[in-house]
Amino acid sequence: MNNAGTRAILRIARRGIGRSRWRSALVAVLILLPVAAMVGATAVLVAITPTAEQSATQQMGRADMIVNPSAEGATTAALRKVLPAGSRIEPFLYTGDQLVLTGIEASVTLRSLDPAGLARGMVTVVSGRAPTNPEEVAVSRSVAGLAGVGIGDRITLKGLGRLTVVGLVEDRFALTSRFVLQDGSVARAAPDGAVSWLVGLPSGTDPASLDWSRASGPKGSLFSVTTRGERVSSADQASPTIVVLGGLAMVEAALVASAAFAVSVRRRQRELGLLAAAGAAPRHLAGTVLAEGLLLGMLGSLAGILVGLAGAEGISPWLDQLTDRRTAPIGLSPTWIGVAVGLGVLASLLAALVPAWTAARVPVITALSGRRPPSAPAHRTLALGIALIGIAFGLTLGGAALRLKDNQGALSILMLLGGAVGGTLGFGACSPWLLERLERPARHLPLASRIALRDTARARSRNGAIVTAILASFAATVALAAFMVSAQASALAHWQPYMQSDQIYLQGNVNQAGPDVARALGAVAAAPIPGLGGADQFPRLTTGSAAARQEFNNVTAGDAELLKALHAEGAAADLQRGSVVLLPEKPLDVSSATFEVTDAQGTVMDTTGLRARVVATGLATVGLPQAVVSADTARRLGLGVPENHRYLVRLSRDVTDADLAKAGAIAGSYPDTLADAAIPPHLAGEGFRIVILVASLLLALSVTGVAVALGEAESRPEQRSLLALGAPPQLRRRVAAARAACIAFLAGALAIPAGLLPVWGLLASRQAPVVVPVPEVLAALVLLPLLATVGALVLSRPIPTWSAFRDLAS
Amino acid sequence: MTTLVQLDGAARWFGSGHTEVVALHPTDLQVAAGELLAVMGPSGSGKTTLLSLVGGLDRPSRGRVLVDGQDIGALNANGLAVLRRRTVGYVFQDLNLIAGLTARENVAIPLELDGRRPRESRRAAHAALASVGLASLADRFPDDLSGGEQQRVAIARALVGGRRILLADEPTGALDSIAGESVMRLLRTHCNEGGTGILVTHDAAHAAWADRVVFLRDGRIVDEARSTARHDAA
Repeated sequence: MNNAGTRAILRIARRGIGRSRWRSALVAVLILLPVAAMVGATAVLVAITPTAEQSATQQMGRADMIVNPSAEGATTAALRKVLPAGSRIEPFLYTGDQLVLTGIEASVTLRSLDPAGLARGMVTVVSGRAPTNPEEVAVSRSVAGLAGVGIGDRITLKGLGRLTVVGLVEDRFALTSRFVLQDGSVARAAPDGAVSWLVGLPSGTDPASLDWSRASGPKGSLFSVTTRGERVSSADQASPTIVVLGGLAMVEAALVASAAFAVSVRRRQRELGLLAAAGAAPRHLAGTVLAEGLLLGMLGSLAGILVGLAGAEGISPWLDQLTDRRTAPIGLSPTWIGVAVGLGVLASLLAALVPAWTAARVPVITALSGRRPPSAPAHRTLALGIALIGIAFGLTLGGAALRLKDNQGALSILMLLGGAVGGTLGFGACSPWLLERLERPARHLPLASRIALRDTARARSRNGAIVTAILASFAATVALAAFMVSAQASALAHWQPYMQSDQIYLQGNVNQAGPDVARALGAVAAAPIPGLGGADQFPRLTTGSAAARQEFNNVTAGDAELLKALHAEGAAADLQRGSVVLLPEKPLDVSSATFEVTDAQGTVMDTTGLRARVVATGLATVGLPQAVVSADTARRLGLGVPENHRYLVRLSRDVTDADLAKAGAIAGSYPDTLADAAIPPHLAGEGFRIVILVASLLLALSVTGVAVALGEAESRPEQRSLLALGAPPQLRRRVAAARAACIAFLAGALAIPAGLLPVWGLLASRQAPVVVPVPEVLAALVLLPLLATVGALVLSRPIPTWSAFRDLAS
Repeated sequence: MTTLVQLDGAARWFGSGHTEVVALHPTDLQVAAGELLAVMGPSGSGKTTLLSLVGGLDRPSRGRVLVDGQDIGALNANGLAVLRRRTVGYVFQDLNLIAGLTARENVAIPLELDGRRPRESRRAAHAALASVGLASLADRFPDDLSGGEQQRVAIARALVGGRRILLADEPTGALDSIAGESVMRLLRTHCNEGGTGILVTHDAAHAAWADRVVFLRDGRIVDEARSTARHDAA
C-alpha cells in the first residue's frame, strides 16, 4: 500500500470514528477500562512495593552487611579479625520492654542504634532529634499517642525507668510499630552475644572475598552474615499477575469490541462497496477497519493511562495508612506505559481483525446493494470449538497426571491453565452454531421473541464473540466457586477434630480466663485440666494384655464437672469411687487399667492397678485428656498437681465462630492465653465469592447490554417498518429483552462446563472429587438470563416516533 | 364517490422560532375510494411529510387529516397504531421487510399485532402473497428475494387484512423498470378494486398510472392534473 493509500485509509477511518461517535466512544471505553484498571493497579503496586534497595535499607541502613552472632565467642574483636582494615563496625540492639502507663503496661520494642551512622534509613527522625545519651529516647508516633507524650515529656519504661522524649521517629516500613529509639551507646555498652553489627567495608572491597573461616568456633561459624548484594540481587520484579490479568481483561474487551466493529462494518457496507467500486482492493477495505481499530485503541489506551493514573493518585492519600508504610509517589515507568498502550492497541486490533477480514470479503455488488452478506457457515466454528475443547480436555488431563507425579511442576500448571483458556475459547467457538439452532424453533414463538431469536441467530458471528466474553467471565466465577466448595468438601472429609463441637479449650493463664469465658458464653460445664506428675514424674495408663496393649498418656485429675465438660458425666460416680475414667476413641471391653509412673528416660518407677470405667469419645485425634482420675486418687498415687495451664468449657450448643471470637478476645486480654474450638471447616471467603459473583454478573450484564444495544442500532429500518405497521412501541423492548435473555442464557449455560473443566483437572491432580457450586450454577442458568431480561426491558427504549426515522425516509 | 382521505388545511412544521422549517403549508386535498393519486415534486417539497400524515405516522401541526373518517389529530398513539394495522398500508422505497422473518411472516405481522390467531394470520398472509404472485416464495427470507420481490411482499403486507388505503413512498425507486412496472400494476389493481392509493414518485412514467397527479413545491400544492393515460392492471 502506497503512502497516499495509507493516508486515504486513515482519513476514512478518522471520519468513520467521527460519524459514529457513540459506537466509537463505546469501543474506546471498552479499551479504556481494562487499560485504566491495569495502569491504576500497577501504579499502586509499584508505589506500595518497596524496591530491593529500600528493603535492604530497612534491614541494614547504609551498611554493606549485617552480621548476627550465631555461636558463643561472637564478639566485636572476633568480627574485626575477619574484616579488612578501615572497616566501620556499628553495633545495634533490638530488645523489648514494657511501657508503664496508668493502670496498664504495654509492650514496646527498644532499638538502640545511631540513625545518622550506618543505620541511616532504618529509623527516620521526623521531629525533634535523636537521643544522644542513655537518659534520652525518641519514640514512634504510636508510643507517643499511647503514652500521651510529646517532645520534652517523660515516659516510664519498666526496665529503664523514666526517660526524656527528645524526638519523634518512624520506621518507614512499619508506620504503626510501637518502638522507642535509644542512643547507640546503649548497644555499644551491651554484652557480646546480645548485639548485631552493621558493617561498612572500605570502598572497593568485595564482601564475598572475606574469609569467614577465620571466625570459627568449636561449633562452626561464629557469625551469620547477610550482605547488601544478596538483598539487592533479588531485582525488582514486575508483577506477572498484573500482566496476566491485564491480558485477560484485554481479551475480554477485544471480544466485546469486535461486536461493535462488526456492526460498524455492517452499517458502512455500502460505503465500503463504493470504495471497492472506486478501485479499492480488499486490503484497502480491511485497512480502513483496522485503521479504525488502531486509532480507537490508541485513543482508549492513552485515555486509560490518564484515568488509571488519576484513579491511583486519587487513592494515594490512603495508601500509607492501608499498607502501614511510607509509599512512593504515584508514577509509572515508560516501560509500563508502553506495555499498557501496546496491550490496548493490540486488543483493539484483535477486535477489528475478523470484521476487517469480513469487510474485505464482501462481494462488491452485495456491498453496493446494502444486503446482508451471507454469514459464514457456523459448522466451521463448531469444528474449531470441538477441536479446542478436545485439546483443552487433553491438556487438563495431562496437567493433572503430571501434577500427580510432580506436585511442583511448572509445566503441569501451564497445561492446566492452557486447558482452562482453551476450554473457554472452545465453548465460545461452539456458540455461533448453537445460536444458529435457535432459528428453527423461533417460528413457533410470539412475534417479539421470533424477531429476537432470528436476529440473534443471523448475527451469530457477532453474538458468538459476545457470548464468549460473558462465558469467559462467568466460567472464571464458576471455576473459582467450584474449587472453593470442592476444597471445603475435601477438608471436611479429612477433618479429625480433637474435641467435641460444643467445647472450647483454653491454654495459658487460664485460672482467670477460663471462668471468664465460661461466664461470658453461658457454659453448662467448665473445669481446669491440671497436669499430673512433676519434672521427673510421667504418669501413663495402659490396658489390655501385651498383645493388645493400649496406652493413655494424657492423664489428668478432675471431678464431676470436668467429666461433664468431657461428655463423660455418666462416669462421675465411678470417678468418686476411685476408678480411672478412660476416654478412648472407640469402646473398650476392659474393667481395669495399670497406672505407671515413669522417669524422663521412660523407666517405670511405680505401678498400680486401678478399676477402669470406659467412655468412648469418638475422637480420633488426641488433644484432650485420655484418662481422668480424682484428686484423691492422684494423691493416693503420690502424684503432684503442677500449675494449671489448661481449661475446658462446654456449651449447651455447638461453638460458633462468634463464640470462638468472643472466647479469643477474652483470652487475648490475658498474657500468652489462647482459645480454641473444633469448628468444622466451613467455606472461608463466602463474601469473596459473593463479590466475584456480583462482579461477573455486572460484567455479563454490561456485555449483554452492549450486544442488545448493537442489535438495536442495526435494526432501525426494521423499527421504522414495525412503526408503520402499527406495532405497539413496547414491542422493541420485548425484542430487546428476548435478545438479552437468549444471549445471557446461552453464555451462562456454556460457562458451567467451561468453568468446571479446569477445576476437574486441578482436583483430579489431588485425587479429590469436584463439587458443583449450586449458587453459581443457578446464577448462570437462571439469575443471569432473568436479570438480563429485566435489565433490557427496563433500560431499552420503545420504538421512537416517526420523526426519529426521517433520515431513513425516501 | 366516497372520500377516504381528506386534508383540511393540514400543515406540518418542525422546530420553532428562527429554526422553524415548514415542511407542508396548509393544504386541502381529497382522495376518493378507487382513486390512485400520484404526488410529485422535487426533494424537500413535502411529499413524504404529506404521506406520513395520511399514514398516521405523524400528526399535523395545524388543520385536520381525516383517514376513512377518522381524524388523525384526535387519535392517541394506540388509535394511530390501530389505524395503521387496519386501514392504512405503507410501502417504503427500500428496507421494508424485517430481515429475520420469512416473507409470509412479514406479511402476517399486522394481523398478528392485531391479535389474530397465528394460523389465521399465516393463511391470510399466504393469500396476500398469492395475490402479488409470490406464494411460492412465502418461506424465503428477505435476503433471498430480489428487490422487486421484496417490494411486492411489502405491498402484500400493506394490503393484508383488507386495508383500503395504500401509501407508497417511491416504491419503485430502487427497482429496475420491469420490477417497477409490476409494482405499479399491483397498485393500480388495488385501486381498481375499490381501494385508495397515494403514490409518491419522481418518475412521470409511474405517475401516469395514477388517476390524478398533484405537484408539490416548497410544501405547497402548486399544480394538479388528471391523468389521461390508462394502464391495464391485468
